[in-house]
Amino acid sequence: MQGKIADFGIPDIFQLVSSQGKSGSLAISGNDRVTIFLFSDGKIVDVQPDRREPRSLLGTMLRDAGLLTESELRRILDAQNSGGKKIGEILVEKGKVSPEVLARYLTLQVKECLFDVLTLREGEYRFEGFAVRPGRWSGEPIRPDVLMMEGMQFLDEYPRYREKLPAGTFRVIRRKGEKVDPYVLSEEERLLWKALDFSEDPDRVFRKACLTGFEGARGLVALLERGLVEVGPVEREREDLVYRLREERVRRRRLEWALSALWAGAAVAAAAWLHKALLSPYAAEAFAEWVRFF
Amino acid sequence: MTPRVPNRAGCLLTTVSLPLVFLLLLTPWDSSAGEPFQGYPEGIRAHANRVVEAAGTGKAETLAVEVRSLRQLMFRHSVISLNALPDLVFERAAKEGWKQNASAAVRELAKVAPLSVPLWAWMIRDDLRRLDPERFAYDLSGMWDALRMYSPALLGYAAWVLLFGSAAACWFAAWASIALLLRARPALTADVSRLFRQFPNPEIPAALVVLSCFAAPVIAGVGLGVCAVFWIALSAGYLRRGELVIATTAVLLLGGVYLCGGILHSVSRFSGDSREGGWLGCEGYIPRSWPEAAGSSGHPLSMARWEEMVKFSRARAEMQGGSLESADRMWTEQILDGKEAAGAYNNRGIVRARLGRTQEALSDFEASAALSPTGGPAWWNAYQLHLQLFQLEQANRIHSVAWASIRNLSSLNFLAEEMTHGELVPSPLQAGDIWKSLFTLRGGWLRALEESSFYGRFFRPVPARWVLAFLAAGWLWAAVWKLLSLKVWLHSACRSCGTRTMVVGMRETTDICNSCRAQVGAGFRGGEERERRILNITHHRRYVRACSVIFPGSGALWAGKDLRAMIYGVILCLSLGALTVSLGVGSADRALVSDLQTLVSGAALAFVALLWAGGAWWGWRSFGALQLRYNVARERT
Repeated sequence: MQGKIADFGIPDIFQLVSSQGKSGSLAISGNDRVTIFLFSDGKIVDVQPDRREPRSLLGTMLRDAGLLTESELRRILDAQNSGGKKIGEILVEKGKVSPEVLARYLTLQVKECLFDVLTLREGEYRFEGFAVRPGRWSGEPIRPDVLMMEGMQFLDEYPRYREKLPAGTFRVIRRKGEKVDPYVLSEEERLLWKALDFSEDPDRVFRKACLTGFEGARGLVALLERGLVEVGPVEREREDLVYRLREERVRRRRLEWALSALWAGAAVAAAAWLHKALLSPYAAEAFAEWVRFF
Repeated sequence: MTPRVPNRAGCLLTTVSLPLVFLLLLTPWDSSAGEPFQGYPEGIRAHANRVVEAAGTGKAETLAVEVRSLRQLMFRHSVISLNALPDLVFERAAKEGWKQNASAAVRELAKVAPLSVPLWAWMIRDDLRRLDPERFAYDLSGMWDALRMYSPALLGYAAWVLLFGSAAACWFAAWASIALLLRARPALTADVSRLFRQFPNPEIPAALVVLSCFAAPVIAGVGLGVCAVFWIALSAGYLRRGELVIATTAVLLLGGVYLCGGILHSVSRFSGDSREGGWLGCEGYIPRSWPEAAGSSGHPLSMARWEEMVKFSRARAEMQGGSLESADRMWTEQILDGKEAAGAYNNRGIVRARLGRTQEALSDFEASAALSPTGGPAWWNAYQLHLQLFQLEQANRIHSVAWASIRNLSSLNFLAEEMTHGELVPSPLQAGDIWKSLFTLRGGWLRALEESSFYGRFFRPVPARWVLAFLAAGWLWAAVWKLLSLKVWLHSACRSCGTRTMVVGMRETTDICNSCRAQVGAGFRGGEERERRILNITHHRRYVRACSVIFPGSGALWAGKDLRAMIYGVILCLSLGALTVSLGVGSADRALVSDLQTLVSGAALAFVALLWAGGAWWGWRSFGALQLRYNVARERT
């Protein structure tokens, strides 16, 4: 089954696959991206976002949430390339992430990708049917109809919430001196409030709280209306933070390598010097002086 | 068939001595150079050569006959041991390719070379290879007895002990100073970078300065001792108390190495003197110019002890050469001097028995037995003389004590069936006092320090007379630097995460940063602070792991296991010391020495490799445990 999104809308495609209980992959392309959803018996079990959109990749999401460091992510991706396993499977096997946390982030990934494709007005879809067996680590399959309702809500409400927040990049911080009774906050607000300890970057806060951009924006607006947080423009310095950190990391790594090379040279010189003093034939002869007494 | 006389006297001794086996295997042994049987009577020389010829595979009976006959001859000339024999036989075995089957022949030779330490050492190695505990205990006891008698190798044993100790001490100084410098390096670099504040990246010139402090003396070819003291003095302000103990031990050991150089120099001069003289069997060389040698202040033996030794050796030489009257006079002088009286009485008794003055001989044996009631062969000699005189009643009275006393000389390996020809056993010179005398401090050593090879090798370019002062000054500087660090703000690198902070006071209270003490992991806040902390932790972990692998044990220093690391360092350096002293001997032209030392160097090398790998693993693991404890291990960040 394949066609154009303009002819057959994405909600209809999802509804069709779901109602017929199909298994297989649904590839949706548009905006120069291809997103593939995997269905098992009409339920979404996995998604494969376009690699050109790293924000939606599971590893990047976990790194942004602070559950992985950059170097750990790099190593796991290397292992994935050499071993052929999926990143979630490797993470659970290595004990970096618990299966429960992984399932939450997989659901988040599916939602993010679905909300993303729902915004497409032009593009193509193609469904290929085949048996799909969900992995042990991949959590519960998601019903597309439930997800679609959230998607519709996203399409309707997201622009409204986004308007209340500053355009472009911004930062969010807790208002100083505010004390909060967590029981008066909604689940979303509570998660966001807690995650504000982690970062001032709203995207990273949403990731930490395991919320989609839409849920995060909604929670953030609610917190803003309660007067618990304040948002503001990103200082130039902070905007460059990631870049600067990357630069610093590279610079320190280069320095470390250069120093390591120099110290290695010094160690070789020291080893040669010790060899000359205590192990060379000349030294061994001097230390074997006792033989002269026999 | 007469049963073999059981020897149980040495059981306790052998049990106590078991741990010394490895060390004893490393000890040097006798053999002669050039003319192997120089100085012995002609008959013995000829017969000894026949024994060497008789040795071989499948010639056990011929060898046994020759050995028995040589032994009778040796008793007649009061010769106790022909230490050169085993080495010659082994050399022949090596040349003819029956070295692996030389066990039976070498064991037979123990009857005519009972004071040869290398022979016993070789047999102990053979026992270990064959897993024969009974023989092992017996051979160990034999070696212990041989070590207690004076032999030409005695000064060699002393030289070996000094060289082994010096080599191990040098290794320890090198290991400790480098490990401590690497431990102090991060904080030291941070402090040096304070001098370069005006630079855009002060850590770069600071790192280069610290690196040059390490590398410059090495490249300049400065002596090991001087380098070690310099590095210790540089790092002392950043060290914990346990690490300062390691540093102090290293400096003290270097002082010991310097003094050992002086002792070795005077001992080697003595060796040169005595080689010019004649051969005296088991008792050693006879120096040509002994009075002059004794007068030298640099002589390894104190003057009084030297003269006693010379007199005893001369008397023994006269006795072996058959000049009985002269020997009698010399032993009498020795008795009047009251030195080595038990041995002198016994030997004079033998001389007098040979001269036919049997009653006087018997009184000498009794006097000797009275002076040394538990040890020595005097009771045995008296017993033999009584038998020769058909004084059976007297002989019967001392029969049991005579056999008991002979059992104490286990290395002599007396068998009842072979002691039926009226053999009289002479007393060798006991080595105990000589050992003491060798290691008594004397001015000559200090004067010899400047000429010793150790000075040039380990302490250049410090002037010889200033070496001890330099070591003391280095240690004092380290102490002052440490005391200053209690009052002056200096950097401290957190042992767990590597964060550098300015602190003042004891290192023990500041070498774990507050974040690690609070176990905050990678930090509470996200963003820059967290990223930087993670970066620090990663770099620190990499640095400590590299140190652990290159200098095993240094990872344990970072983990705070100072004294355990020191014990590890001592064991590692003892193994390296054994490797150093045995490495140059493998190619020596003495087959027995070469064979055993090749084994020792191989074993030492394997042990060093094992310790190295174990130390690297231990340091890595200890540091990992430390990071886990403070929640900065990768698994928990």
